[in-house]
Amino acid sequence: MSTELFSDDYNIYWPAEYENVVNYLTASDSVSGAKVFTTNMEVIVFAASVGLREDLKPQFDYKELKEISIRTFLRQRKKDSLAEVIYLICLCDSIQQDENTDIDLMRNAEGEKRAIHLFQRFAAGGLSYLNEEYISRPKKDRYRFVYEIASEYLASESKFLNAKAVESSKDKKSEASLRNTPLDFNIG
Amino acid sequence: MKLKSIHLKDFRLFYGEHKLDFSQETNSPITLFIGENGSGKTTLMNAIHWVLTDKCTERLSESDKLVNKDALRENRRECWVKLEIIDDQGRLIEISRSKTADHSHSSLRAHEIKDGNFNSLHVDDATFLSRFFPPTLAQWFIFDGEALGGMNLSGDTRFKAELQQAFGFDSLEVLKSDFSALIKHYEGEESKKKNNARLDELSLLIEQSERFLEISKISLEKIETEYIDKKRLEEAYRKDLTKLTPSSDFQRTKDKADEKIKGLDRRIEEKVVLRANLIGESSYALVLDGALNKLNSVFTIKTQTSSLPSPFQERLIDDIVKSERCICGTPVFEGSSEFENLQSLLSQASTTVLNQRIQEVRTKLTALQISADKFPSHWEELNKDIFSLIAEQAEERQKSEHAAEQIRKIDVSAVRKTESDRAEAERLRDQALTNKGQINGQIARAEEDLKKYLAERATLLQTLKRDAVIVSKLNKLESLKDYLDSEIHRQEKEVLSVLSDVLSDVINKYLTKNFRVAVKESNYRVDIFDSDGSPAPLSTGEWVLVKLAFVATMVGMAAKRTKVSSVNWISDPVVAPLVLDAPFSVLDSEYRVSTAKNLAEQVQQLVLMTSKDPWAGLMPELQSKIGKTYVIQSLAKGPPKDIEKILEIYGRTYKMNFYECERDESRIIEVSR
Repeated sequence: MSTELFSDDYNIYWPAEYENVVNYLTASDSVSGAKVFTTNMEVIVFAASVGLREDLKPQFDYKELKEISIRTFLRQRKKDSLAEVIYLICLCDSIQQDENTDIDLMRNAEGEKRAIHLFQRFAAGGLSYLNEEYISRPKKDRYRFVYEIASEYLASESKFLNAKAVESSKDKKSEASLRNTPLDFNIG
Repeated sequence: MKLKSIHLKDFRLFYGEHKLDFSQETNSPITLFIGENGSGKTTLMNAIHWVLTDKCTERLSESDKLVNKDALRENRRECWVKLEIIDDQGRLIEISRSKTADHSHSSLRAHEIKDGNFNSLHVDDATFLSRFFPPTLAQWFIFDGEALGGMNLSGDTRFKAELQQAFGFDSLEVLKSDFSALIKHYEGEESKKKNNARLDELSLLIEQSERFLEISKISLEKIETEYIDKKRLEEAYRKDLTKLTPSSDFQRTKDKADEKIKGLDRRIEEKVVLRANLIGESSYALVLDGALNKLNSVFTIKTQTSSLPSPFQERLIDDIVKSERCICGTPVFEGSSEFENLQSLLSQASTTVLNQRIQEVRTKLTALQISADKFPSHWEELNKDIFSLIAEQAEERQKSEHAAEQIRKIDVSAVRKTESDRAEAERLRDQALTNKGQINGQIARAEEDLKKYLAERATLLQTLKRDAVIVSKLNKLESLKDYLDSEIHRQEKEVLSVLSDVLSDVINKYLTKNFRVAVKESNYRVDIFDSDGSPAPLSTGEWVLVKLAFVATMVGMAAKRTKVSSVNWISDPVVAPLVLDAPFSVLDSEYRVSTAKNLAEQVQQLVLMTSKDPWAGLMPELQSKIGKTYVIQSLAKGPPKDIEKILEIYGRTYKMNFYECERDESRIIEVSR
């Protein structure tokens, strides 16, 4: 049996109706060229993380789907691999359900399939959440968009105390006005 | 020459006719005019200047507007000035000059007044007035206080030439050249008689050389004047440029700031990209952080309680299959149901891959936790950096905008024009210097050649039999010429020595400094030395005193009024009155009295214009020297103002200004003791 995290070339699917928000999060800033997420895969992992925390795992019966190969998750360099996060999300969910880790998800092909399916549901749920945020919040930089969502899930107050203080003390507009260039605050 | 009276009509500030007499007293040579600023003192001085030179002084504003404005309104389109003078022969001469407002018509007339009769004199504008007063010397006799600042005693060709003219040396030079011409004539005659080709040739060469030298020296003088003029002009433009702020400094500041802004832009972009990358890479770690903590705890407990799959279970089943017997003793043969069960168990119990995956997942979990832990400090640091760079950029932007604004304010066209004018003056100055060098070279060569020709001719003449009569005449002429040369030289030395002594006297007496003045023979430069013989510095105010003393002495010497010694004049120096407009305005107050006294002692006739205030301090010293006094009153059309000026003189009070008058004009009234 392969010692790879996944024994087969699976595809991870995500609903095409959320393509806008995925494109938004993978686009470059029009002035600086800065990117928050380089690939759709990273967005899906982020979305699945959000789906887990929001407990959003809708039934996966979407008409139109986009796919990402598991190879993308595995990546060329092991340390950059995000395939583990698929399992981590599922394991976290199992703890939330019955205080026990469902190790069997990682045991065999059947477990792998279950893990992928669950991951997809969380990803879809997370994408719907991000999409709502994308539509409802005023247009802002991508980095701020992701930061504000991520920082809502503080594990402990102290970790982000300084970061939040730095952020709130600054007049968010003053950075743009000081620069007087649309470098960072355009959603292009 | 002395001034007797002036009669003017509709000349600038003076509406209608005004007639005044000048003091003729030897012991009271001063004619005093007291008037406030704008009353007409400078105009009166210019009336005298204009008649004698057909020009006004440099500092007079709108000098082309000569006819009084009210007179013009009344359709009187011409002004005139009549000046009565007493020439060196004692003749009373009236010189009158007129001009129309548009300058289309002008006239110059002169009459000798004898026994009440006016006898017309032939007037040739160019030379007539030079008999009484060389126009080129006007600046030495008629000037205002401010002109003293520009007066230059540093010695140059023009300065020397003007002074030589003032001392009358120019007429002696004319006499010298007359002698030279006669000598040449007789030499030419002698050469013709000799009928010697070489002698003829030499005569021609000598004549050509002398003519060349004469022309070259005149050219040299002109070039030197041109050089000095252009040098002064270039310096004036340079000074103007320093007042005009150069845009280049601001441009440099702006360019530097813009460069920094670009650099900061790049650095900010880099940080912004890093920030975006950081949140992207950390986003899921942050979201999952709390949940991962819980998962990690569960993993830890399971590890501690050995609840995780053991790697030995697979080995056990493998051993049972190999040994074909279970640990409970049941046989396990290949193909049997027990064997199938065990195979199924094996596949289910295989933990190698599972453990591997668990390990990798736990490694990832740890990595995510670390990422979440480090994130706040990294985030804060990046944002601080970005903010600081933005603030720095804002500062540079302000500098750039400020510099741009300063550049916009600079009248670039004025700077360019002044720089262009300065460059042109510099070019002309350098050209004049080059030409001067060339001409000097040519003169030196020509002089060398002339010496050779003269020597050769002298030698040749010695070998030839000479005409005794001509030789005798030539010898006499040469003697006379040499005598004249030595006398001119002697006189020049004496004049300069007396000038030096008198000026030294003035400095010692009035500046109370133990300095010595030396007027250099070669260029008449005035140098001041201290008791050690080192060049001594004088302040601007002290230099003004020296300049006034210089002029007074020059004038006084010419009029034979110097106290130090009388020069044994063989020339006819220019004797003319001094007409000074507000000379004390540029003098330090401590020197005013001494200057005034010195002037009164030296000059034959002094016309002095002053305002009320300096006069108050001078009156006690000069009162006895004043022959005539006039007050110039200002009349104004407009309503009364708070400014009322009163003059107290000779025990009486006079108003200096009036309001609600028929017109704006000046009025001159004589005041007597």
